[in-house]
Amino acid sequence: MRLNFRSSEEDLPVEVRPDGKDWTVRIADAEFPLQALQARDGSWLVDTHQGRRRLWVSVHGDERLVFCDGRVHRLRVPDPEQGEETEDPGSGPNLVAEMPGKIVKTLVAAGESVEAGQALVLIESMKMETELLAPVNGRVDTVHVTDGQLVAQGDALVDIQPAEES
Amino acid sequence: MSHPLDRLIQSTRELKALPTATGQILQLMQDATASADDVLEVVGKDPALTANLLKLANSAMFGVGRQIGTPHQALVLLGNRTVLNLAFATGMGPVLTGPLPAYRLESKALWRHSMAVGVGAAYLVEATVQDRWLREAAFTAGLVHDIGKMLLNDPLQTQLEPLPLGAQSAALVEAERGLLGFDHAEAGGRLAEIWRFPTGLVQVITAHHHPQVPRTDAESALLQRAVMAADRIAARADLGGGSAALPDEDFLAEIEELQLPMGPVEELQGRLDAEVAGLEAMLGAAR
Repeated sequence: MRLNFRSSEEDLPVEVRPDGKDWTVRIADAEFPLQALQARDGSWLVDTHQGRRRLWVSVHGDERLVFCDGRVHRLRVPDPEQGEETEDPGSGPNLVAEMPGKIVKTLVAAGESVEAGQALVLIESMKMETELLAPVNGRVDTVHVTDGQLVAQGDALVDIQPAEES
Repeated sequence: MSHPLDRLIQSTRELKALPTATGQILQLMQDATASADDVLEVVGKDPALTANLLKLANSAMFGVGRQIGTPHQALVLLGNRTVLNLAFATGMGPVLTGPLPAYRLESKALWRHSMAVGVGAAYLVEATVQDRWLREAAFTAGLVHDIGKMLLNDPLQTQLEPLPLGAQSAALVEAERGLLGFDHAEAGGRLAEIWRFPTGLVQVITAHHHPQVPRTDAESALLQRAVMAADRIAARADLGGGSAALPDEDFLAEIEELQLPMGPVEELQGRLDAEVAGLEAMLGAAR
């Protein structure tokens, strides 16, 4: 199965081959085995050579929001009929709640410049504190939440205006 | 949130949230590509964690006979894996504090029990295979094996019938299942899974009252047997975490069934109390 995921940063050619009960995945020039098991809560437990990760995947049309380790990866499966697809300018790299939880602390304010990987919000969900990180360099447009606020899955947390490439 | 235990995990007041640093340490423990800089960045974020990590790194149990003054020295002398194990162990203290009235455990009694089983399991593994990494893994597994009791305290307190006073561990687990439909080992295993503990730890937590669960490798089987034996020895040292000691005959039969050498078991019984007191003095009662 050949796929071509598009993240906000780059195109990722991906090839997935079944290997018994497991999978072999090729991303660009790297190939590795992968085991995936869907848990009863709908999340995926994925084992690779880099260890185990728990992922939540939310499907919105041709878009996949993948929540992993406090980051949201926005992936898109381009429609082969339409050829190259342009990024929707309205869908910025915004932060949304991957699970219901409580905002422990907002770490940025509107107008602040942020770098990719910078912690924006500390959220407690399932009795676990997680820093949610900025997916791109940019400027904080809106902070939708305050300390102590309860949020539902999919609630907007922080909108970021991506920095223009120089 | 479809798993029946997930709502319990989310709503349990006694259970403190896993701190960010401890969560990140767990991720690094399972990331074979983690660098020394990655470890230093996470450990350095939390001064209390760093201080306790250095105390453990200088202890007789984990030290290398040289004074370790900084996390960087600890990494150089002990290696990434040991530093992460020790950092994880110290980070779990605040989570395992209590009190847990349903188990008649005062504040910090569960943490003392956890340290007893951690120290005991590490000692038994060392006496059996002399493998430093397995010894550390046994310490960590013993430390977190009863984390499910943090979850069961609340629902047990709402039951009309209390847990039997002075019950041995098997009867206690049976009573939990009778009252709630699940026991603390199952609940702890689910919590460990959600918190992304390494698979081996999840298995030990889930199965530490269910020895019939098959083990695919000798190492995890040894870890489980060591934790189960240390659990019973801790109860005999009055550090039972809510469980009473087994009578001599039953205790000896269980140790024999667990296939652990009797000499180290007897030696551990004589020194466990002092070992736990030393560890508690070193780390403080859960910070």
